[in-house]
Amino acid sequence: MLDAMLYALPFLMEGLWVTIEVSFLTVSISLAVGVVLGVALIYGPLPLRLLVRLFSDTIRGIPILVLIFFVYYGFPAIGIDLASFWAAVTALTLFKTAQVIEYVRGAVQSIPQGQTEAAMAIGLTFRERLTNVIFPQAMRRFLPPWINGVTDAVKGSALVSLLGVTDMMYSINQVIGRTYEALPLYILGAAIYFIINYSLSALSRRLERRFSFVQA
Amino acid sequence: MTADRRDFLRLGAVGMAAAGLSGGGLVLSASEAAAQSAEGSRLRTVLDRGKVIVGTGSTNAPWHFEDEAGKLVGMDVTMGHILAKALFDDENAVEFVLQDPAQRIPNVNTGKVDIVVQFMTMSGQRAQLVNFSRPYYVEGVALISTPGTDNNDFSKLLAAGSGATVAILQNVGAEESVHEVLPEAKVMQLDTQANVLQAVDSKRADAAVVDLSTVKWLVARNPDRYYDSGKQWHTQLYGAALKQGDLDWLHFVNSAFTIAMFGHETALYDEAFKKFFGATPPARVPGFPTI
Amino acid sequence: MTEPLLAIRDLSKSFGTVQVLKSIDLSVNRGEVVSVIGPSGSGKTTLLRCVNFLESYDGGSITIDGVEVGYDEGRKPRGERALARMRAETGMVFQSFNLFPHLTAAGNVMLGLIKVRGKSKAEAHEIALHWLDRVGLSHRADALPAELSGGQQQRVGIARAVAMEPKILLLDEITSALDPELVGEVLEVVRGLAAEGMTMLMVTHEIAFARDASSRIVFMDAGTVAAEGPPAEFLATADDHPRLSAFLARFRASHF
Repeated sequence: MLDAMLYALPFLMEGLWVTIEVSFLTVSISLAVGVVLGVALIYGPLPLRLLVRLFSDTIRGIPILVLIFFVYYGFPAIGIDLASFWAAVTALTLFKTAQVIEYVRGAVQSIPQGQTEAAMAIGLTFRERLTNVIFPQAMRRFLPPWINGVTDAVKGSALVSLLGVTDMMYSINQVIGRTYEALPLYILGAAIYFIINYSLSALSRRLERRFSFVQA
Repeated sequence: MTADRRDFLRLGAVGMAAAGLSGGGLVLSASEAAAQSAEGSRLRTVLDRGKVIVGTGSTNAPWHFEDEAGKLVGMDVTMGHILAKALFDDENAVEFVLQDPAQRIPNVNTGKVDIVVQFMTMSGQRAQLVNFSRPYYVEGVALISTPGTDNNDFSKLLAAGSGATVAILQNVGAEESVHEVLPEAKVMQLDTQANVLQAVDSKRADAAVVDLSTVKWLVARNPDRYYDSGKQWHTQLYGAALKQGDLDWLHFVNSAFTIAMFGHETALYDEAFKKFFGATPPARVPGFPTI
Repeated sequence: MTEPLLAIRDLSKSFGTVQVLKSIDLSVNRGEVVSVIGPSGSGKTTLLRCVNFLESYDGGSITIDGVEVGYDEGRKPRGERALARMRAETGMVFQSFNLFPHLTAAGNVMLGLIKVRGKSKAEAHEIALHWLDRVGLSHRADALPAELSGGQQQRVGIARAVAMEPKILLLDEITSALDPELVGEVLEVVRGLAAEGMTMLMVTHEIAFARDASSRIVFMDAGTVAAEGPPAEFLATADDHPRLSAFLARFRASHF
């Protein structure tokens, strides 16, 4: 069992790198775009709000798998022909962005209106209010579901193997395809995914502690 | 393109020019002639591109898998190299796109790949969705066991009657498949190929029903671990899949395969056949064509 | 005659079909303390919130030192930056304190100083400590709002508003949410500020305090100014205004 795992380890490294790449791209892009769209959803003019709402509801109603295949096979119809890696990243990012929009909305809307008013009263502009008063408080409610989403993204990145992208899941199957020894490899794979996500959870607990202060 | 090919085309051009002059007809250049015959065809696209894009997998030995050095090899992969050689006289002018088996038909029909060579069984249903090339291998089904199992030979399994347990990948015709040759055996259906072999390894099953090529591959690789029970049945044809409606491309692929299997370019095919199945194709006999 | 610091002229505002402010005229001169009293629903809080444009207004004008608060010459609402600058000239203290829970007491006071007044962190800290000391809380400068009592939080709220050196301070029922025993310490601070010449517009239920600390009391009822005058005169002539005397009667009944 153990030597099967040790044998497989180097072959999994490249796949592991792809998994990390996919997860990192998905999480960072969805965070950046999601926060902007989330703010637009709360503070923007009506047409923009409707658009973001439509986007978020539509994407969240489609299973990720369907989304992946839709981007890979469907997008060429509107002129966007993506290689499998980028199609998978795009689909995963779209999915996560919709989720981030909802986390942002929930977190910001849970802050009492009085906070915005007090910030206005001392003469802060919209951007200053968001940066210094709203977001620091929203962080506390934003972080737990978001961190959850991050670990989901890492786990969900395994779906890219269905487009033939050589992530860690696919690498595992490649070695099994050669040696036919499934069990040691699945255990090894689970262990690696676990290590990644456990570190992320530990990091998240530290982050949450930093942003916890008793709300008045 | 090699010098030979260029010269050949030039000769052809000159020849055609001469014919045209003497015939009083139009003078065509070689590439125009080729374009005329293959306009709108994938063959033209591939030739212009300079490499052929083949959709295949990388998780199933001996068809398409990564060897110890990380290189993509296998019988399906070899067919891709054969195509490249026929197109460009360079077996490496091929790009392999890895895909999940579920993507075999979608990827070729949407043009993501030029051709799919991925241990695809030719069936009436599938033939309605894609054009199959001529078959390049006839797969069968066989029994595999271990050297240490008591009932590892087919005769012993048959004699054991209901005392024999046979593992097989779960699917619609699984029970019938086993009972065709071992009518009284107990059938153990499992969810993945790897688990099926795991059952044999751990002797929970006396034998397993797997692809004949898999049996050959595993026994050749691990003779102390696996044992060929010596029974094979069923035949299924493996063909490459192409998008429908492209006669020139389909005929080209067929010609390339036929030449590689029966004609004068059999080196690549035979080498792979030996390496992956441990066998040699029957001798090719001049005279009456049996293909 | 000098221009009033705050001039509200013919102010009207409706929420949907309900008109809550009907042609209000009200002025506050520099150094004056004006208290606004009245039953709930009279529009007094809405009036206050119009002065720093937390509420928009439909008709009339509100000017501070002659400059219209919410709209420019063409009656278009002011842009983000202009509005922020206007609001920096008015300070507001809220009924529910609205301290920023993620900042310490000092941090609360410093935020506006750094972002709006452009002070350095060190300068802002010094100023914050000065004002926290003025409200008697310099020993709690590093406490988070959650660690402070209601009265202490409100005093920090006052320090936060006053540290910005606004032209006028707006106080929105600042003791209504406090336990009775904590009201006194807050009113003490306000009294001190008034004595130093801070211009204030105060919506309050503390009639006794209004009587003692104000230059003028204004009685609002159903969206209009029903009565107005210096405290002594105001209370003496209360019986001339039936609704005012009814209002004060309720007050007297509950307090004496």
